[in-house]
Parts: sequence; structure tokens; C-alpha cells
Amino acid sequence: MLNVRGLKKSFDDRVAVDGVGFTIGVGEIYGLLGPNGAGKTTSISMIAGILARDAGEVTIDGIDIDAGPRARALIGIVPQSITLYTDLTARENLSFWGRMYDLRGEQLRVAVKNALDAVGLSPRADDLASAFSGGMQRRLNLACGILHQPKLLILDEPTVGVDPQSRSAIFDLVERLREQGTAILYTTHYMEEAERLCTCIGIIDAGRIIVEGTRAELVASIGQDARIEIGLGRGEALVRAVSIVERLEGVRSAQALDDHIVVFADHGAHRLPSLLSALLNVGLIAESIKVVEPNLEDVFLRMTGRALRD
Amino acid sequence: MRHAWLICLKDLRQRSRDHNALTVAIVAPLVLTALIGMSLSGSQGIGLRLAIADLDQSALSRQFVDFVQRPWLIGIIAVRPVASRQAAAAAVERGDVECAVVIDSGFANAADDGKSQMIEILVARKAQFALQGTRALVQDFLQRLAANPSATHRIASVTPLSPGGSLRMIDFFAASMTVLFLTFAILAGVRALQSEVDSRTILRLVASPAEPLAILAGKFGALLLVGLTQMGVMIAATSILFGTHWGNSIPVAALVATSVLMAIGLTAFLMSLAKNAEQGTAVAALVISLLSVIGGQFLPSQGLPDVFETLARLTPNGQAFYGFLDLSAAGSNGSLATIAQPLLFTGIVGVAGIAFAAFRARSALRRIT
Repeated sequence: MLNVRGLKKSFDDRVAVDGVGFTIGVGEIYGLLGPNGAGKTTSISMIAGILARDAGEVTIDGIDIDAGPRARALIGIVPQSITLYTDLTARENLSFWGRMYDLRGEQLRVAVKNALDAVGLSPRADDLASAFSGGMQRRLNLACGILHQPKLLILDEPTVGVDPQSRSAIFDLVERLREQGTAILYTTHYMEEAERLCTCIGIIDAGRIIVEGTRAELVASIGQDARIEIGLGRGEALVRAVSIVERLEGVRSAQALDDHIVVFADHGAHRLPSLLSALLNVGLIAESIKVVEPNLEDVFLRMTGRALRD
Repeated sequence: MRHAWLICLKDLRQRSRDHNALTVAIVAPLVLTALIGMSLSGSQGIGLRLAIADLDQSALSRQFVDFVQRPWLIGIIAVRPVASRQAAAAAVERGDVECAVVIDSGFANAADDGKSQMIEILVARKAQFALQGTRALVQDFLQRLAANPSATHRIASVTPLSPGGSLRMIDFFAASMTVLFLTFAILAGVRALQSEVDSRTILRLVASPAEPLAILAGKFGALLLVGLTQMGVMIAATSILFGTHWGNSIPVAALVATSVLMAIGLTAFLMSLAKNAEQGTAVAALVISLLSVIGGQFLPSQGLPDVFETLARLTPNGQAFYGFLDLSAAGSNGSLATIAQPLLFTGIVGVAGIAFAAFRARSALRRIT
């Protein structure tokens, strides 16, 4: 449904997107996972035809995005910021966007009703959007993007700042849309969202997709090793600990993060006694110890040397 | 075209819900026109202030003075006797009166001899309505006189004086407040447009199937309709409530259109220089207020040195304002030629401002994506 190849964009001397490419099939959710400033929003702005690209190709259902209105009519976009007319009611917001996508008459009325039902806002349909809570506005924001049943739905961090109830409602809706065959591009910096929703995940950093695959494939790419976190307090101790630990046999990597070091080692937890012993020998006493299964956060950490939240 | 119309209708619906904007567009200018105009006029009932220089001092000339001071004219015509033609001219030039009637010495004898009566009318340049009233009054007197049927009953001359007297204060403020609040009403619309950029709602429009030109046309159309409606309502309301005569409808309509264009261009230009809607509104309000002072919209330039009117006509709002005054003064003689300069000036400012703002909007869109 969506085919993106070699997207590039620079702002003056700063390269924001550098050769991003991926494909999304019918009924797939592609997660673009990366920290703030990684190039997610710039990428989707080019895919949606909002921002001119320096290089690259974008086709939706075989139609080049440069075809203009014909291509844009296939896309539903839910921007990161809440883009509602707060002095209009929920129904008026939806009716306006429906008309903009050429829905009319009964077709429009039904589409508005379905969208309101889908996001659980039917009882508040005739209230001004300004009277809604942040979570309700997020849901209405989403409804405006799905109203015309787009073939490609672009969701840019749709759960930022929402309450757990609204977040759960958004997840349910996204999954229903996928089941109905909508291709979904989902950007987030929340690892849990990408893990729960996405059929394929691309990890983006500094404008480039550094690794791509299913969750299982990505985790496997860093090995089946457990992640060991050893709390040592902040400061010099962390640097010393890393320099000692990374020389030990079987240790794949060691990094200092906040008040602890993160160690990936062959056979995971089995290496723990030797790690602690080595630290104790130089006077470093662990304040806390945690052994966790690897996840997408670890993939990002291993690939970039930084945490997703950095 | 359909997309442009949808955007325009949506914007108009939003504007109609902005009670502050409605107050600024309609209520405030009407109330201020009434309050300022009436307070500065002293009495709304005085329709004509007339100086009479009776140089003949005859029974006949005194009859004229009595004629214009008949009981039913009290409150409509305020008569100020003056001693000489020079004093009459000075009263007109100071703006103390709109017109002066000078009855030359020998007036009675000439009437007795069946010769032409010697009555001169001095009139402020922009007081065309006062002139019509005075002329009708004098001719009515001369016809009633009929002392000698063979006498040629006529007014010897009508002398327009510059810089002239004043329009009715309420007429002045009807025009000034309409132009001033037109700019503020449009500013509210331009602010809303900037808010769409600030809140990134505009991104959704850009991502929709609407062509960029349709988005621009829809937004511009809504502003244009808001401005035209505001001007239309103000002109109708001041005509009905205060009896303001704006002039011939075709040139007035043309000037209304270019004035609205000017207001859109000016406010869009100022807003496009700002970082956000709040900053833009503050800066634009300041500049508009300053331009209104320079544009002579708070104080009639009559009686002030010519330089004030020259300065006023250097501002776009001043051009629009004086254009309306010129049309009002010209009465039925007003035409597009009467306001050629204001039409051109306001039109150019409007188009240039809109073009500049559109150019800046492209950069703003790039910045927020």
C-alpha cells in the first residue's frame, strides 16, 4: 500500500532525514520508533505530501504522492499536535473534514456517526471541542483522520499526553482498523506501543532507519542475552565500573546509564556472580541488581549507545 | 472551488461564534460613532450652522434673518450673525459654521429697482449638504419676496472656502469608526488564521485533497466576506440611525471593496512578521492605532494645518477614510474619478500585503512541519 524509497530532507545544513525507506502492506502497522528529533515527523510530513522532499519516492496504492489531491485523498493523517477547531462541535469538526474528503449527504452522516462511535464520543457529539478533556480531544483528533476510511492512516505519536483510558481506546481502534485492512504508519517513542501494535518496526535515529523487522527479529538481532542492570550511584563509579566490566570474558557490551550500568553478556544471569565479584574487587558495591529480558529499548541502546528517551 | 467554499463557510461559522469579533466589527463602531459624534456636535439636532453677514442692514435684509430664524427652524438651523464678509469667511474656515450668507449693501435698493439681488454664499469645501440646505433657504426667501416680479431672483455667487468647515461630527465619525473597526475586525480573522498555523491545524488542510490555491482562496474569501459584511452593516446602520449620507453607491461600493482588501493586506502583512498570533495581534493593534491617529480618524483635520491631511493621506487607512469623506462631500456628483487615488492606493496596499503574507506563509509551513 505504501512504498517509500530514499527519502531525504535537509534544513539548511542540518540533515533531518537521510535515505529513509520502507514498505507497508494492506492490514499492516509499521512502527517508526525513535527518540524525539530522530526524523519521524519530518518523514511522515513528506509521505503525507505536506513537506517537499529533497530526494526519494513515495507511492500510495501505486499512486505517486506528487499526484496531489488524488494521492492525498487516500491518506488519513493524525498529526502529533491536536489539530481541531475548538470553536466547533465534534460533529461540525467531523462534518467539515468529511466534506473536504468529498463525503456528502447520507454517506457523510453515516461516516460522522461511525467515527463518533468508534472513538466513544457520540454522547458529546454536539459539544464544542474546547469543552473536551485532552484525552477526548486526542480521540476526536483521531476520528477526523479515519472518517473517510483512508487506505493509509498516518498516526504521529497519537497517544502523547493522554490518560490510560483514552490510550487504551486508541489502541483498540488502531487494531480494529488494521483488521479492516487499513495500512497504518505509526510513529512513537514509546517502546510499549510499538511492541503491542506494530507488525513491523523500523528504529530511526538521526534521520536514518538503523534496523527494521518484527519485534522478535529485532530482539533476536541483539542476541538472546538478558540485560543486567547494576545500580552504583551517579558519578565516577559508573565510568570505572564500565571500564572493568567490559574487559570481562563473555561481556558483549557495557554502558553507563543514569545511576547504573547496563551489561549485555553471554548466558545473561549466569555471568552475574563474576560481574559482582569484579566490581567488589575494586571497591564498587552494587546498590541494586536487575536482570531483564531484552526488548526494543535494548535494541535501540545496542544500536545507538543511547536510551530511547534521550 | 468546492474546497475553497467549504473552507470559507467553516471560517465564517467560526467567526460568527467569536462574540468579541462581532462586538469589534459592529457594536463598538456604532456606539462610538454615536457617543463621540453626538458629544462633539453639542447637539444632534443642529443640522446646519449658518453665519449671516447683513451688510445692507435694511428692513428687507432683516426679513431674511427673521426668515431663517422662524420658530420651526430653531434647532435645525443655528444662526450666527457676523459683521462683515471677512468675519463670515473666517467663521467658515475655522469650522465654526458650515455656510455663511453675505447680504451685500444695496440689497434692498436693488430689489426695489428690479435688479439682481446680491446674496453671496460662502461654503466649506466638504459641506455639500449644508450648501444644498442654504441654497434652498435663500432661493425660497427670494421667491417668497416677489417684491418686484421683474426682478431677477438669484444668488449672486457661491464661494467654496478651503480648508473648509466641518462635516457633521457624526458623519465624520461614522466614516472614521467604520474604517478603524474594519481593520480590527479583519485583524480578528487574520489572528484566527495565524492561530491555525500556530496550532498546526493548517497541516491537516494542507494534507487534505484541497489544492493550496483553494485553501488560500477559502481563507481569503472568508476575510473578504467578513469585511464586506462589516462595512455594509455599518453603512446601512449609520445611514438609518444617524442619517449619514455616504455618497453615490457605485464609488462607495468600489471603495468598500478596496478598503477591505487594504485591511486584509495590512493586517496579514503585520501578522506575517510576528512569531505567533498573540505577538502579531499586539503589534498589529499598536500599528493600526498609530496609523489611525496619523490617518486623522480620531480628530477632524478641518481647522488644522494642511499638513495633517497630507500626512493622513499617506496612510492606507487615511486614504480609505478620506475617500469616504470625499464621496460624502461630493454627494450626487461623486464618481470613481473622485476617489481614484484612494482606490488605487488602498488596492495596491491590499494586494502587496496579501502577496507578502502568502510568501511568508510558505516559510511558516515549512517551519512547522
